[in-house]
Amino acid sequence: MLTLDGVSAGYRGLRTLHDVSLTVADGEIVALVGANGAGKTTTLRTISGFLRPTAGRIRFADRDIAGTRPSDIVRAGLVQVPEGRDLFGPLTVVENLEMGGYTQDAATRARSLREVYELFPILAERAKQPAETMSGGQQQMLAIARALMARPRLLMLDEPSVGLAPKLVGAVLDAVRRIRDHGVTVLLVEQNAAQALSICDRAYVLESGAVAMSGRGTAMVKDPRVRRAYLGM
Amino acid sequence: MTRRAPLSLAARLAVAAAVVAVVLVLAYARSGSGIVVSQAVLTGLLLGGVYGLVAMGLTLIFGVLDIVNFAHGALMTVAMYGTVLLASHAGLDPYLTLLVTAPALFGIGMALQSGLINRTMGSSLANQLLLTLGIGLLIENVLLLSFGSEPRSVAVGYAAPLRAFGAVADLTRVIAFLGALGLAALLYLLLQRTRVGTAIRAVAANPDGAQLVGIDVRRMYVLTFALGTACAGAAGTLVAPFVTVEATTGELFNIIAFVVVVLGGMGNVVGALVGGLLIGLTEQLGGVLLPEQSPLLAVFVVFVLVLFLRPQGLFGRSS
Ligand SMILES: Nc1ncnc2c1ncn2[C@@H]1O[C@H](COP(=O)(O)OP(=O)(O)OP(=O)(O)O)[C@@H](O)[C@H]1O
Ligand SMILES: [Mg+2]
Repeated sequence: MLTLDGVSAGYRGLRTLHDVSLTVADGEIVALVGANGAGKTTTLRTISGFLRPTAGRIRFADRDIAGTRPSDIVRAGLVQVPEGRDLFGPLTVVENLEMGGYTQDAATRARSLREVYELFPILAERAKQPAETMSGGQQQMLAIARALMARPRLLMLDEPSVGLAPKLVGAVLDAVRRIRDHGVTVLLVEQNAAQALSICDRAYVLESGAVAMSGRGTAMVKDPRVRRAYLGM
Repeated sequence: MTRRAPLSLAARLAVAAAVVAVVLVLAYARSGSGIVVSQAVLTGLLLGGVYGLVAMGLTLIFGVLDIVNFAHGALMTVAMYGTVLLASHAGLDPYLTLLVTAPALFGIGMALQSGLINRTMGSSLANQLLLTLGIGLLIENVLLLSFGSEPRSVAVGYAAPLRAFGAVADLTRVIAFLGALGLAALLYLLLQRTRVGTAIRAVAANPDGAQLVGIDVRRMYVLTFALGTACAGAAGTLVAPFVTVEATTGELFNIIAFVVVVLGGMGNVVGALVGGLLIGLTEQLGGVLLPEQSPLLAVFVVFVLVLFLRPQGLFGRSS
């Protein structure tokens, strides 16, 4: 469904990603793990169209999307929950969700709203509250729900568990699994590698902007090199 | 050190009301005449409504595009000349010209933003300031070249003085006030109740987030600039019947609107309307309290006080 083929990208002439290739197949959860500053966020921002790749190709659903504007990439069905969430703070929860469905027609929006309320009932309770007044965990749920409102075929999540209490980390990852079970393909970025590897089908390890390792999640959790370098064991 | 809890909105409104009450009493003591005071209040509120509309456009542009538009007043003047021409040459009712000037200024706003201002988005504040200042000066000089330096005016056939509480208000000022309030309410409803209005607020809140939900942010910038410019245009037409129209007439409104925007909280459209009314009152009551001085003196005193005491504005959120 998504293929990166030798993608390089960076900020203002500074190259951050080097020749990154990865694929995400229909229905998979693929994890992208790596240390601080490895280039995980840069990878997602490049896929989402915020950064233009300096080399390589990005294909999504049989279309070359490198150089496409972010809003058009969303319309194509590739939606991101960004690091830091980028919620519309002063807008209410329901307004955030309505905006999430900006690319959809009114009937689809109404249906999606019911579905995300079912997935995250707390959002229905807080519908009229400004997004910025909610707790971190609730904001993360809102960010995921807002992305789902766009009815993505592929959902990319950038460290959805960062800054959350351990109990909430489990809840968020559980939601990710349920989202996949609803037929949405997932590309999950995590620093918390142990958790991510345990729920994903396949994983890529990013190191200094390049893919250092890849394989099945379950196999990688057992790999002594991975355990030493990324899991601190 | 303990930080004082921020005052609630109701408390802030109460403080504002108390200040207004004290000023009213002082003005009464100073002038010794109730009629002078009520005249100042009436004139101030009526003009304040128009200030509010001009400032709403300015604050909307600031809140969404992060640009202080110093061409706002010159664009308002363009609409005044539009009304002068259409009323005196085509014989249209001055208020009917609103149907031409507001859409025309909307179009001019679209062209300016997508053709020129767009290029400075994200560049330094100084660049944007110079650009909008330059556009403003250019417009003024084109108006001067086209229409000369002779002041123009617009005649309204049915102008008549209205009386309330011993004060007199010209019908044209009452119409301007009601028109400004009506348009302000329309703009507010557009922003709060429609999909495109919510999208504009979303862009103001988080442009990256807006792109991530599929909003074409560049289009929203153009639309917002056009809406803000249309506000200036509508205000220009509404005041045309009671101001002398010159190439620089809009400048004063631009300065006052800037003060109003800061007072109401940068980017806050409701704050802009309330701020407009307060500045209208300040200007007129200032004239009563300090009769020897320019009425703008009181406006600037308030401006400096706000900058010192509450830089986020009366209705802004402290960050
Ligand atoms: N806006 C930017 N401008 C310049 N350099 C940047 C920018 N954002 C990130 N970088 C640099 O690019 C490299 C990769 O950063 P990136 O944010 O992609 O890492 P990451 O894997 O997401 O890290 P983290 O786990 O901390 O989120 C880092 O060296 C970082 O300093
Ligand atoms: Mg990151």
